[in-house]
Amino acid sequence: MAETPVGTLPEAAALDSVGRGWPRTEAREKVRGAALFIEDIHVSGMLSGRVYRSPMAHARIVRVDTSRAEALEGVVAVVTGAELPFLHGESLVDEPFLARDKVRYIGEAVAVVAALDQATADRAVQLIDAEYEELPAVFDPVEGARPGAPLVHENVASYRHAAGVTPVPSTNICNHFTLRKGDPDAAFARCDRVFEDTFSTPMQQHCMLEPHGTVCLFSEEGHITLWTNNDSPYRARKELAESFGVQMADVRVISAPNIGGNFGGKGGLKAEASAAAIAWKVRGRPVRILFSRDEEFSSSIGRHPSKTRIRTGVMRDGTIVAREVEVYLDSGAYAEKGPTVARFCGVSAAGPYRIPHVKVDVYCVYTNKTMSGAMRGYGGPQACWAYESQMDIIARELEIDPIDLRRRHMYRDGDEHVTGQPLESAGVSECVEALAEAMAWKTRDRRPDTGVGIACMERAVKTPFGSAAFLKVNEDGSVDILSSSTEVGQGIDTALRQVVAEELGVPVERIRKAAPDTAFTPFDASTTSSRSMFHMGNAVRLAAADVRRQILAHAAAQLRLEAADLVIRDGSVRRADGSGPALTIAEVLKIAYAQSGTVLGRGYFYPETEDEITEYYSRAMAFWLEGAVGAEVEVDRQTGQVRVIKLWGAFDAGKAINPVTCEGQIQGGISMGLGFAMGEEVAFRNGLCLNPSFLGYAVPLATDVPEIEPLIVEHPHPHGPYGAKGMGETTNVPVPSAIANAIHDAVGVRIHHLPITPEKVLDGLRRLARQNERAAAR
Amino acid sequence: MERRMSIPPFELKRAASVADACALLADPAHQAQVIAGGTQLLLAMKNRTRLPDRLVDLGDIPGLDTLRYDAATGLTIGARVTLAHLADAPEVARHYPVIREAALAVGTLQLQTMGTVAGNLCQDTCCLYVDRAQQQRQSIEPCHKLEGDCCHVVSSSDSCWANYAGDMAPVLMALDASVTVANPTGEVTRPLAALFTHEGVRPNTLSPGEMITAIHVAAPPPRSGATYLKLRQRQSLDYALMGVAAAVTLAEDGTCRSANVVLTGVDRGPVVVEQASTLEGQPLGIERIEAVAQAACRQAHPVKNAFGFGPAYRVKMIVPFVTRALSSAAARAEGREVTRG
Repeated sequence: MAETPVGTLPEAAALDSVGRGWPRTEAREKVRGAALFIEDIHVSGMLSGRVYRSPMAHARIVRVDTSRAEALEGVVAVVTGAELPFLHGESLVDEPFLARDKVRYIGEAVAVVAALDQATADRAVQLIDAEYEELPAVFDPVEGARPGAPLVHENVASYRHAAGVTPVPSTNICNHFTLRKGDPDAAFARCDRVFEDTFSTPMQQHCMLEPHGTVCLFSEEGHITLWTNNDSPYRARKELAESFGVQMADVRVISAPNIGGNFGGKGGLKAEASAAAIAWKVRGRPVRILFSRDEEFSSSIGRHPSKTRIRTGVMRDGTIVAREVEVYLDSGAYAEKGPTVARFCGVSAAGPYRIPHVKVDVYCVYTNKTMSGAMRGYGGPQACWAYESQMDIIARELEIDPIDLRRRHMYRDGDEHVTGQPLESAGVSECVEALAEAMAWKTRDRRPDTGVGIACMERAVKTPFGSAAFLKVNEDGSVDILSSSTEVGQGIDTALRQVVAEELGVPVERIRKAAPDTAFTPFDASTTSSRSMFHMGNAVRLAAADVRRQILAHAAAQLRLEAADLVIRDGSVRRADGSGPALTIAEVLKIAYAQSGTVLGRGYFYPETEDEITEYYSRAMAFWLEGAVGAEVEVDRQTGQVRVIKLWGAFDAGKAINPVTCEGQIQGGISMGLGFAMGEEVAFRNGLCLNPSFLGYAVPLATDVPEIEPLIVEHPHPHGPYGAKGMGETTNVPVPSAIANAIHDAVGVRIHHLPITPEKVLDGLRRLARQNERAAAR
Repeated sequence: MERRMSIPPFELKRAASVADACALLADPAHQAQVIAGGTQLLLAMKNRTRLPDRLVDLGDIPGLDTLRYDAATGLTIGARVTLAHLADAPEVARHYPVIREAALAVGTLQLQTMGTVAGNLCQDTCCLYVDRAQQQRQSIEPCHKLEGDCCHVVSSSDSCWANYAGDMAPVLMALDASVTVANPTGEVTRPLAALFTHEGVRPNTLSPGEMITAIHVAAPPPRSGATYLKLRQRQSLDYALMGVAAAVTLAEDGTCRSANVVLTGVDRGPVVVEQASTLEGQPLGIERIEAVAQAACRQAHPVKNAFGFGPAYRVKMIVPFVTRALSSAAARAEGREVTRG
């Protein structure tokens, strides 16, 4: 059988391993409590660390006196920012490992203690005496962007940054993303109606069950070893190597055996930075830093709070001709991944619609608050809250069915995206149609005070970034996947095993993938952006094809047949027609190499783009994440309380490699979107986090989540493994606008500011009643 | 075992008898505290908002886990009876459905399984600015509740405004429950309402050396019914942002013989709505019920120290909640079940 080139789609019926809901590799041990996490990693001689954090939102550090802490018995070392002249950052390098000269938010790391045990480290932190001189602070991104606002960073333009990031000198704007298409001003001037609305979203927290944790060892020679639950070992290695000025080979990042949730929160350097800072000082002994839950809230990252103004120019028949979107993203004290969040937000801020004239500005603005950064949807939820709420406003005002209005503008294959690039695989309309059918949109029974709504979305995948994989065929014919994709609960390990099984003809059970270790597993840009299934899926598929070729070549020689006539099925080589003798892979290896043989496969996937790469990310996206969510709600007019009766989620997987995992991604993402819609808000008062715990922060628990009906759409991607692309990242994105649209459908109240509280609904009902009274009076 | 959040050191004493427990609690050399389910206490210790150096475990004391009902004496709930035990007891479901509903409204199943009814009555008041890890308090001044002299919520206040949000107290008070408190010299049984100080810093009247041994609820009179409605952001976990317990007993002619309404989550202790007594001897029409509901609003003083809904909304919701609770209690008293929450 000839090699199936990447991009060729086999018939579904021909697939054995792909497209089936294989049980997750790690499910059993997680359910039994036997899975090992970073907290279970004990390295000989390991010290316990604790971070001393800033009590001030914005202040000059006058002194940090660590003498009392250092004098405490059992304390090995204390390190402060003054000792560490290093900065780190993803696309704009602005963050010290520990605050230097000044602190920029309450909760910022100022010093780290290493002690023989955790209780001593905890006590020692209380003995650190610091003196600060308070500075004027800024807490709102719109105010922060104004001239004359207190500067969180005196000179943002001085920071090293990636191409395509545009900080505005002498302001708090760490990136100003712009997108222009056509002539929006002229189009607005000649359209029939202009809709203008403002929307806002608060900070959301990832609430991954397992907080950040890291063990770091700096050897006497300056070699760094990091055990961590970071989502992307190679990116962490790059940041550390660049920060400390060592070669990459001298930094080894070892992933924890399991990672308890990510949602974008475990990228960058969090516990890693503090652990590296103290390990750099201690030398020769590993130090462990485990974040507590309150540190997750106040000292890691959340989703960028946003304020969005969206203007849309529409013709009388409902044709949308122009859209202008201005988004302020609250970055908090450092850029973190904000500049790229701003970019992804901006690229999709006009929605998945053909609109001829578009103007987008996204400002990522420093404030003296906890950092914002990468979080599931990555700018998508903020943008979608605005454009999908407004789509319904337009539809209802013009008395057009909301789905029909969307249908008329939705991208289809071959369309040009607002960024100018051609769309190869646009499944959004199939998602909406699947939704309309499942919800019985046209014929649904309507009870009083209930309503239905939908919202759809698109978002780019991070592009162009490569992924590599090796395969080792063991002496017994079992296979190890060496890949730096991290299993963070999304199910990638199982899906990659399925791809290798399919490509190689070996049962899934015979294939394993261990957690990454940069000393052994090859390069992968990151486990983010729902890129792994597409990129790493292609890489392991290429590696498996490489292995298959070699095994077939051996077997052909051994059987005196043509390799082209042979296939591997169920771990054995045989003729494609099933006739004649068969050899197991183990037998092939044994004949070829006696007792000690192996076959190694390699695969490297990099999405080729025709565009010249002139920006931080090339404009041509490897694929687009697309989907739609529907909601049915009931509103209590007396209390304003909204009961979400049911949610539907239709998302384009290209090809569902593991449909059970895809459904799980829809269920999980929708739950996360439900929380963002109905109550989650990391609240601040003068920079102080008001609700840094699961008691104060209303993340939905299992019993708060209504029925969710997942609908997997398979609009095959021409370059994806078996047609697959990513889908998990954005299943949360349309939920708030779908619910808000349903609320409007139920009682006529439009919510502009998340979260949707009963108080806001009740206020809306009051206003509506007053309007009706006035109208009746006239 | 290394932990992300450690519990400060303490000694654990297992009391052999109630007298022994009281002696251990009364010892002036210690800051002693009963540990039952620990669902609130251990978190407070992790947060360093409470630092007892001695915890007294009641697990060896016979009889405290007794849950007993008979028609003559009613329901007796021992000090170690858990909320889950209460919720699962068939006699509670049969005679006091409202008690079962209140127990199931506390936190989550896990918290109901660990937490005790008596512990719930002793639930501390809560506040955004107090209930946080030590590190999260270092940027704010110590407030009244933590031996400081300010209030971050009501800045002009010379006292603490921490919020009482227990679920069991309003229901048991509405049912005229009493509580037996042991001390080193004996024990005394008082109306449950007497347990509360209505002070934010220390919401209950127990002094060192005292502990609850049992809670008593009389057998439900004929033609009686009660309901508990709880306002919260999440149905799964949250403290009451406002809660209403209403209990109604009807005379044979259908008029109201007695009516109790008790609020929680809107002040520093459970609030008995005085206006409810005006229903006595009257037919329970919607106008009278709404008048009680309006009056209840005036007794509520929620402040912005709980996360979720604002004080104005919480007050606003008292009217529909009291109305629904009283209507539902009356319906139950009449033998009609109304399910609306």
